[in-house]
Amino acid sequence: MRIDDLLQATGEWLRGTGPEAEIVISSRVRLARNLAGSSFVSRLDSEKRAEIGKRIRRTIEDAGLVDDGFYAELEETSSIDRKFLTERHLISREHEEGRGERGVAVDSREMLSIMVNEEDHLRVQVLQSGLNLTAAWRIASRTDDALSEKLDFAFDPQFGYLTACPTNVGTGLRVSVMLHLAALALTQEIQKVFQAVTRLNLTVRGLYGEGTEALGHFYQISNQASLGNSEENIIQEIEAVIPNIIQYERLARGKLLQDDRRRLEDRVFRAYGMLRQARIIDSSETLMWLSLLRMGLTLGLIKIPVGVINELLLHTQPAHLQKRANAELDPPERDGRRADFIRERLSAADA
Amino acid sequence: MVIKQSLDINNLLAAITAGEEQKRTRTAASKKSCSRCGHTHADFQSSGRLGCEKDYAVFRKELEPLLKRIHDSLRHTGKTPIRASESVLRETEIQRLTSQLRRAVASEDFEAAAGIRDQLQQLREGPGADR
Repeated sequence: MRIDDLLQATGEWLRGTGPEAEIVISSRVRLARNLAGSSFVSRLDSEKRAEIGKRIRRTIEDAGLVDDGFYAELEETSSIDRKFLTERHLISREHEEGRGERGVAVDSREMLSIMVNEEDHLRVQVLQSGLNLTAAWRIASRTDDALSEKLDFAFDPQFGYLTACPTNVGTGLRVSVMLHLAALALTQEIQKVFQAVTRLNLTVRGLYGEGTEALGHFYQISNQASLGNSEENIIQEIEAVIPNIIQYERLARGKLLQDDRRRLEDRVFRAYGMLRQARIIDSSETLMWLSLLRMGLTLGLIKIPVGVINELLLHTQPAHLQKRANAELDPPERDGRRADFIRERLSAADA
Repeated sequence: MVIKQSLDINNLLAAITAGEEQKRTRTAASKKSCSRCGHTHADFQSSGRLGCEKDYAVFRKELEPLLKRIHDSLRHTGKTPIRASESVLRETEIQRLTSQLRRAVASEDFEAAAGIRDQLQQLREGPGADR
């Protein structure tokens, strides 16, 4: 399998199934690990860094962790392909834009990805559609065990797994849930959720992690502390909070419907009209309309297969458009192509 | 809309460590360096990142208040690597039992405490223990 083959799929995080899929887009679990006896990545010279990269790659391949997937050496991968992997949430922005020997292993379902020589020697990430942290954790832990049979990890009895950044030490675990909170955003209630979540020592981020904007009203909620709690407890704490937020979003959606159904319908159908007719459209405008459409769909106001919305969410991103066109496109060219692609898909779904 | 809560982690760490520093004299700590990777405390302050696993021991004094603030804890209670060395596993088990013992004593469950104490003694005196 090659990176190009992913263009035919939507990947795990946008499969649109799983528990609470109306509001919960995906669940993600990430483990940070470093090899014992070597400096962390930022302190490695290029020779040692390459050696570690090769050793980890061999271990991943020997253990058959991504058998029907692929391993990409990012130094040899084009910038569009690297951006493409970021858009699919398979690597981080830092990994995309970094320098030096580094890679990523991805399984064919795009459920498991293992970043090599990112900030830590290893970052194991598992994505699941819907609210499914326990399943994600099980896969991540099993992958971690398989790697740990062949590699010695930097571990301290008091501090746990040792990581380059002290915010990840201990379990090395970051658990996040991506939520679509369109009604809470429309009714301006979202700040209350942020405040409550922050008080619980959890973090809210945008679609692409740290510092990104809350594009299209998609929010990631994740744990802040990684030391002192067991992995299961960290997951349980998040899993206990998420249903409350889901409930709050449902109430806000119900209230929007009840207070002014016509107005809400108008908004949803105007979004549809924009997407259906635009000749030029940029990424953030696309996300804004798709977000409304997605909410309208889950409220039964409009009939469009959720698969089409998910496909549009993913494939209207810059690197996806460029890979489809098989050419580098500047932003105005992309905005035209994006509008064409959306019209084509929506009219096919209508037929 | 930008989410205000998501501060850049580097700035956050730098801000926290800078606060720590103001309480003490700066010189001694920032000159301290790791003999293995060469990372200095000043490197840590500017990047928010450590250079190697040994830094956790070298900068322990500077790190502990920071870890306490981020995680509200200084002790790992999660999983351990399959291939951890004997001594790491022993030490982990000793720490686990010690905190159990502390809890048992606090809740005045002296019967359980005595059992844990015996297990600890065995671990500490068993084959391979540091003497």
